[in-house]
Amino acid sequence: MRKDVYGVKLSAFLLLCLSVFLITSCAPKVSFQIERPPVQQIENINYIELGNFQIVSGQIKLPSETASDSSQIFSRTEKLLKPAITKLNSKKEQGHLTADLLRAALVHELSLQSPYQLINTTGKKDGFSGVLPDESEIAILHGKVKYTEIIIESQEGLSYFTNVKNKGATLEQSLLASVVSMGAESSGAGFVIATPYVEQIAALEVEFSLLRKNDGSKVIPSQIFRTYFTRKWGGSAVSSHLPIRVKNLIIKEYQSDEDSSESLLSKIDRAGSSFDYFERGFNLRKNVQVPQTPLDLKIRLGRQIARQYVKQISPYHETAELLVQDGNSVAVNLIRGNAYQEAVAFLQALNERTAADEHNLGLAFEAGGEISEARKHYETALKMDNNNAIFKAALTRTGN
Amino acid sequence: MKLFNNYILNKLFLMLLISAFLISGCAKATITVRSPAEINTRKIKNVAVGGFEIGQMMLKFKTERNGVWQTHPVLLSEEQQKSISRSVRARVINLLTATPYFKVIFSDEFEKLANDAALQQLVSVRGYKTKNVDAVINGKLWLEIERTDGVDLSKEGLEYFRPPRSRNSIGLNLTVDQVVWWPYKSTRGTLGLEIKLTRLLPTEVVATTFETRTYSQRIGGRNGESFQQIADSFTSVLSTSKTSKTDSIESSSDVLPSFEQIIADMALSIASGFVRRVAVTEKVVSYPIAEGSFTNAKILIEAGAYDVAIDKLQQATAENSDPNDLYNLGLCFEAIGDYGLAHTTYREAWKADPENLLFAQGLGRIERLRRENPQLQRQLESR
Repeated sequence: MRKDVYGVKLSAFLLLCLSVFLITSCAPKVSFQIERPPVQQIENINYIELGNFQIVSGQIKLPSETASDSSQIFSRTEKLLKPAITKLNSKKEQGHLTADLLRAALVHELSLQSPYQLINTTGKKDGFSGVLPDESEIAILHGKVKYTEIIIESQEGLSYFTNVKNKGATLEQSLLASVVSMGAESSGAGFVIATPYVEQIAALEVEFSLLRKNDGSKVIPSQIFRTYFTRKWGGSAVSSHLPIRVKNLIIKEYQSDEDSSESLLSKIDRAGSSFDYFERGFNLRKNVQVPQTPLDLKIRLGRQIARQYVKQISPYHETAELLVQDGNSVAVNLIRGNAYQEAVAFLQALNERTAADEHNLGLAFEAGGEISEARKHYETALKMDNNNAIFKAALTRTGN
Repeated sequence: MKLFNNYILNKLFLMLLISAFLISGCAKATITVRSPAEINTRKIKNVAVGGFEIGQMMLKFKTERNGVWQTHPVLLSEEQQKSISRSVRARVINLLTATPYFKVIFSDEFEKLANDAALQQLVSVRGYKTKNVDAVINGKLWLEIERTDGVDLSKEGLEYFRPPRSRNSIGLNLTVDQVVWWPYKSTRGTLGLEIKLTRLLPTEVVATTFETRTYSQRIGGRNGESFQQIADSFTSVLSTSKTSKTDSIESSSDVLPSFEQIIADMALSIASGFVRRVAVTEKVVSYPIAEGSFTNAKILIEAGAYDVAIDKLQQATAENSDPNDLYNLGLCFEAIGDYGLAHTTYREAWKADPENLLFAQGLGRIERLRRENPQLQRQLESR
């Protein structure tokens, strides 16, 4: 009989689990599409022309030089392969193609995001000699490009320590054998065999200037953007031609988008129609073991810089996961449904708003790209509830 | 005991019922919605296609033996380069003619121009002879294809098993590590394609897209990437479920494709993205349907009979305005691309039941479309 009681309890538990699973799987995710204003304020510019992208030679700073003391960078050089890359020098012959690709990436981003009309995208002066708008409304985008690309195709002697394992051995014994052979390999014992590898290191630096066409004055101050890439296919995972600290810094700061685990599920989710399927290139095979081409590398870096710069001069959208406070339930529903304008109208019409409502009103404004309005309401919310960490975080996030 | 078994059975039945209720509670219908062109191209009907300039075209063969790499660039004559560029151009024309929104004007006047600057010059001084053209599409391409013949190196365990010879002996079961060389062949192609739509009057670069596609395949070599295998199996399932012309061609994953095949696949993919930006396209999405008093709405919506559903739902809501029916009506308007009416109807539904998340989501979808497509916002305001 006791067994039967367990059976009932078990079935009740299963029922509960199933219900919880089904309910949570129905719940919508509260992710926000937020419109961010341009980082720099641009006044009275309606048209953009692409000017000259000049290739300049010179050194590109390594990523950590700006962040910390450069003397520490080369402290761990034990896995450094020869020749060691300790300086990134821009060469003119590699730059022309990169500058052209950067121009294409900039035009793409501007055409996608920006409120400006593009009137000359070739960088040549003789384009559009016909009717032109008022020159004081035209800004010309110029750039100075430094690019370096080092592709090393070589071999390194890796040690292979082989052993014979007895299948009848205990778990401890076989684990010990594996540890011994790994230790021997890392200390260089065993057969040393030439193992092929490909390592790519690249860096792009662009100094942008946006000038008003009528008088050549700067619309916004000149800015420098840098981006880097490094990856190795084959050979040892720990050795590199770049100092290990620089390499880790580049991977952490500039290659966070490379996580392949994300791609699989979202790929399947997005491939809704055959049109989508082709558009996103899912019909193409992509084996990550095949090293990328130099063209891939140039395009990747060009795109990264173009995206960063266009954010400076044009509003952009980004997805963010933000917390809606437990305030007026109708407003909470509207925000969860991404209907921010309706939420703003609804909350503003309320006679009395709690601190949570004020925060949610700020959130709706922020999601619609009205940052200064959002701040006002976050401030009000914080006045009503001095110690609330979420309100404080919202103020910090929207701070200048 | 039998009684008790009945009790368990009843419990299970109840469990099943609740699960069925919960599943049906978030039932979603797959509907086809028209998504607006990302860029307003309404006044552009007749399009001529200009040339596709070559930014870079490079083919390389690489070999690797014992860590010694050799690269042999394949020199392409100008004619060969032009022929590749023309084949990419043909793919774009193909897709454009497949959409009913543009009429492609076949004229070689724009194709003959040397580059983008020459085209912009001709357009801005209105020096073209072809009549009835509203806009010109031209492009620029960068292509690099590498094919590598190399050898992977890895440590593999080879298993030795010797059965026992007599009852007293236990036999041998050993794993012996060996260094193994695995020959492989791989190919990787990168195509960067910039496509531009330039309106003639008033002169403006209306849309530009710069997209890249990569293709990489490897045959032979060590088969160690389990994640890649899973990804491949998923994408191969996806590709078989799609009905397209390319599926009719047998392609084996054990053979590397030709350069032409790689280029064609990549160009097709980029061109589809461009068409999405400049023309109205249809996409399949999965949105929840409300359980309204007009029960047939669900069947009609799922079947894609939006016009009939609108008709019936308008009648039903005129007699008895159930907010769930109003929501379903909004869904139909959204499906046919009438976002103004969809918004009004969702709003009515939400006003009747402000606590309903489904209705707020409907409103949110239209708001998001407006935010991300300023052109659509203007169209809705001018109604």
